[in-house]
Amino acid sequence: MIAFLALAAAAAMQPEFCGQTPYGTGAGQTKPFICSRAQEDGGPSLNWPSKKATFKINTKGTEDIPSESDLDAGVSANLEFTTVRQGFSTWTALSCTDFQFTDGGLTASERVGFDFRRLDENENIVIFQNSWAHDPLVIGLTTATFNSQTGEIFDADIELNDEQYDFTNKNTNVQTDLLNTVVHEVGHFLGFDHTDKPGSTLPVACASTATMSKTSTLGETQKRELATTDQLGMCFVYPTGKPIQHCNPPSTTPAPPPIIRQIGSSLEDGCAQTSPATVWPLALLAVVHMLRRRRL
Amino acid sequence: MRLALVAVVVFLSSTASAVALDTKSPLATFEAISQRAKVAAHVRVLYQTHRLVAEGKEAGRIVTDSHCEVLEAAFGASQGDTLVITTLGGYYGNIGQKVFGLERLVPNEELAVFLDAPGYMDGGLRVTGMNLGLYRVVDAPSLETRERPIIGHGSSVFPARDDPTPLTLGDFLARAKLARSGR
Repeated sequence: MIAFLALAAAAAMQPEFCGQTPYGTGAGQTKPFICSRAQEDGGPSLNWPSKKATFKINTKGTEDIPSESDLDAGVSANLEFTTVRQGFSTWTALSCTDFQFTDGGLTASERVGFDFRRLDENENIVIFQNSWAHDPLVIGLTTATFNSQTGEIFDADIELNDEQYDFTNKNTNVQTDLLNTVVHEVGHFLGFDHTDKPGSTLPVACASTATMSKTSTLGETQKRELATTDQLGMCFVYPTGKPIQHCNPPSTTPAPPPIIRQIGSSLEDGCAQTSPATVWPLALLAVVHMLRRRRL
Repeated sequence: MRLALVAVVVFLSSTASAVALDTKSPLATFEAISQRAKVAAHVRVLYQTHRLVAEGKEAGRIVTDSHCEVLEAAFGASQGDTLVITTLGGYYGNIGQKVFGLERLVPNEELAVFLDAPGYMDGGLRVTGMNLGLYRVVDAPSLETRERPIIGHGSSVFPARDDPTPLTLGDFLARAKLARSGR
């Protein structure tokens, strides 16, 4: 009940027209949310193949948020983990979707991306990176690995920049609000793109106030709750009691086989030369698909 | 770039109070990025290759190496040099990997870029400030090269916040060179 009221309140924060035509969901109309595409020039939209996904949280956590100790019970709770879980459940609390996240608990894995050589070791992780390999201006990054022909996501990982930013989880003295950040990144995890990305046709008033807006300022908490735009996206792609809907369906025409070559410890793709390694990605995709089916 | 980014990017240049709240955070002004970068240049993307990082801590990442020709540089490179810009995400056969919010480079397009030292993901140079260090040069045949406007990913707030007039390629090179000299 609390989640529902919170979501209703968030929906009221956006102008009413954010959920109306011409930003409706009918055929030929511009949708009021932005789905990611699988290819450089478009292609199918990204989505999970079924309405369920498991995530795990790396055990390191962050020291920014102190643990809460219950001396009577003799236990200590890492509150950042609670906040991360809340970030996932924010998207599934909507009655219009029956997507389910499974909390897989904690993991020691730090693997971001998808290791094709160790298929069983891949997990969808959330990790606080205290040694940030990317640009310091970025608070969080989500990396999704998918079938570029169908748009089916088979792995997604969230990295949080614990080196440059002080994460907080309170309503006072808010710095980089953890829930604000995680709810946004979980939107990417589900396949949604920025509402205000270049080329977006959403009105600025809708795009800039959405959880999936690309920028954040210090102290911001607006993204903790889904705006109308975000809710409509979730309800459209992962609707309760109905099959998953594609913003852009996969093509029925198969693409030509890729060309791959291996150089040193890296496998390289895209150069015009043939190699026995050409079949690797297709074979791996088949294995990945089988593994996923077995788990479901 | 993947918020990508997605990525969530803080434009700390937005308010003074935001800076005061988090002293660890860097400033994202044009001048700050100019001073941090190793290279500022006008480049054309010649071609791209994709790599799957197969070993080490980053194993499992797909990255794109964009091989670029330097058309003019403010600092850190010379005309005619070839640079490799490494960005997260790309394709390995039919497998795609996307880092939300990160801008993709496109073969044949011209860019004005700030770049960090090489070695990013065992590859080439990293774009400084992620998307903030990346500007697309608008194709305007009627204009002289240096008069062509450039569009940044965060153009609504950066560099427009510093200067509301459109930034041209000539402005970019001159301002970057000036900021660098004032380090």
